Amino acid sequence: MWRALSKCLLLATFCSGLTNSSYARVNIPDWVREAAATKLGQFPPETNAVILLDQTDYTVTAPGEFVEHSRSVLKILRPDGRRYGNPAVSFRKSEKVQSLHAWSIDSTGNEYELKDKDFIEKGAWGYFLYSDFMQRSAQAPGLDPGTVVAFAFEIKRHEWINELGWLFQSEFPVVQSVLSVELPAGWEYRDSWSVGSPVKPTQTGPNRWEWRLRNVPGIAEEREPMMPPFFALAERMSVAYFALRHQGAHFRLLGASRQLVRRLGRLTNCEQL
Amino acid sequence: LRENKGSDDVLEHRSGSHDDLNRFFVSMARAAGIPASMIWVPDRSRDIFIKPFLSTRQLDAEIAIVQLDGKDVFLDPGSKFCPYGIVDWRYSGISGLRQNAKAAEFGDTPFPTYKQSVVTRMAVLSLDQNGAAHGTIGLFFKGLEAMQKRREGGKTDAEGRKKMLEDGLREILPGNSDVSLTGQPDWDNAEAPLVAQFKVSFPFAVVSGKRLLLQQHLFQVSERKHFSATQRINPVYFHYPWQEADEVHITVPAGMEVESMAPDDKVQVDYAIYQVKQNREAPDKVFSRRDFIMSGMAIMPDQYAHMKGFFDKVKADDDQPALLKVGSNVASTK
Repeated sequence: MWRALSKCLLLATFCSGLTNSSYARVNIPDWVREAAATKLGQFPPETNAVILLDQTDYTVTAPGEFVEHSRSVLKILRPDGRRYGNPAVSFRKSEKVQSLHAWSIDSTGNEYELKDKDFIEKGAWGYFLYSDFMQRSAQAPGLDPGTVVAFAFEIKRHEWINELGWLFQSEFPVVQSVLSVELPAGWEYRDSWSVGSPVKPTQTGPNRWEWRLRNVPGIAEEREPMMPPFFALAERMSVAYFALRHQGAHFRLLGASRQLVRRLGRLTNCEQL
Repeated sequence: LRENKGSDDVLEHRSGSHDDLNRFFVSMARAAGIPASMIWVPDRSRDIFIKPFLSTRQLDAEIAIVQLDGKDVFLDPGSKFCPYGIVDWRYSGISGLRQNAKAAEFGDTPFPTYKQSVVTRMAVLSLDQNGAAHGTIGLFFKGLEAMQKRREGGKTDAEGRKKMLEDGLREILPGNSDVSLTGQPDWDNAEAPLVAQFKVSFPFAVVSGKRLLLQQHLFQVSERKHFSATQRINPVYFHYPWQEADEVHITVPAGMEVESMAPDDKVQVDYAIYQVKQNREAPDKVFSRRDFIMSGMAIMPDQYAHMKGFFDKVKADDDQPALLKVGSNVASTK
């Protein structure tokens, strides 16, 4: 999430309704405090920020339908890291943002809280002529070196392909990255890894699995001139999921999902473009 | 803007996204009886395709493939100003999922070649006694280079396009250059090279006593060293291969003659060629030609030192000066 933020955010003007009284009753969740208390190791001196926690929980409810619940905590290390501290999330117009929440704790211990009403909504990508992608973003208070910013959201999403992604590597070091996937009873999944060694998941429920990674190094952009793009270097994982009754129909084509086959089949069909 | 739900909609709305337009093109080709299909590929500006990584999130854009005389021709009419036979560099030279008769299979888009991205520059200049150069410069952009320029130009108006070209030339000429575009480049014809001509005037040669010192390879005067680091962690990634061909014709000031010129040279490695030639076209005219071809796209870290050596050599040759002096006839009469 933070990586995406760093790439695409044109920050909204700070919500003028956000006054000190908004912070009067700050309720920082335990998971934020725990992450904020993480003792940091050594990072390269040019590291602008570090991601203390990046946790995504997917609950699949039907083909292509799932709820994404995300928690992330970022610590700003250098002044240049300020611009990465503002929470934002993208979603399609057809998807439903169920909750948004953000908190920040500055280096002197002041605590702040942002709620749904503190976020503004706008088109996600300013440079597109038209797009169905929207973005909700806010400006977190107290962004300075040493500040910890946490962000949580829940979105009911829809994808055309039964596939979930886990981009656990970022331009910043990641202390802990967690992915959980919960499928309807009887459904199965298959994971696939871009590079590196696959991590075995832990089964944490009747049909729920969790992958956990610690201390993932960052890939600083423009660290070297003319280096390959971020995604060409980043480690990531993909989970394809499917109902048991369709077993055998899936991955029959070089691992591609059934939806993908359908999509390619109709690409040039005049009726179903 | 209305959503396109089929090829008919693209025709009716007279608009569509990149993929909409390429799908529409394939539909038209099929309707005309030409076998056509599509390939779904990543955008190389942000990703690569990793076959064992079974994720469609790698895939970004759809490119048209038509079969002509039994051969696949990859086309990208959805990319604005993309000439026939070329696809936008972002979708070239990469694997993806290709439609076949039954469903799909892995496929590849063709690698771009240096011949598909050519910049030719020609300067015809006269030098005065103070070292200032006056004359004309022509720039010729072909293939991907022309496409990029036309797309940039498409974002602004005629005045903005003029400024864009003039600023682009100013960036490569010595400081304080007067640059004025003459004529109107053809911004609309994607199949033709983009040609721009300029009237120029700029301080060029350095006066040193009775001598003038000048860098004959005018178009590299402001070019900085490409690679300074001695070590490299990541591959060097050129977006696409390219070719540069530069010619500079200089008439020396009356009463001066050429004392020395940089030596000719040719440097060739597996993935690149560099060649420079200098000669006297006439007693008062010098000529230089520089050719550069980069045919590689990714140079691995273990080849970095070798590649850096190549670029360092190119830079050293580009910087070799020519020396003009007051002619012996003039000198003896003083």
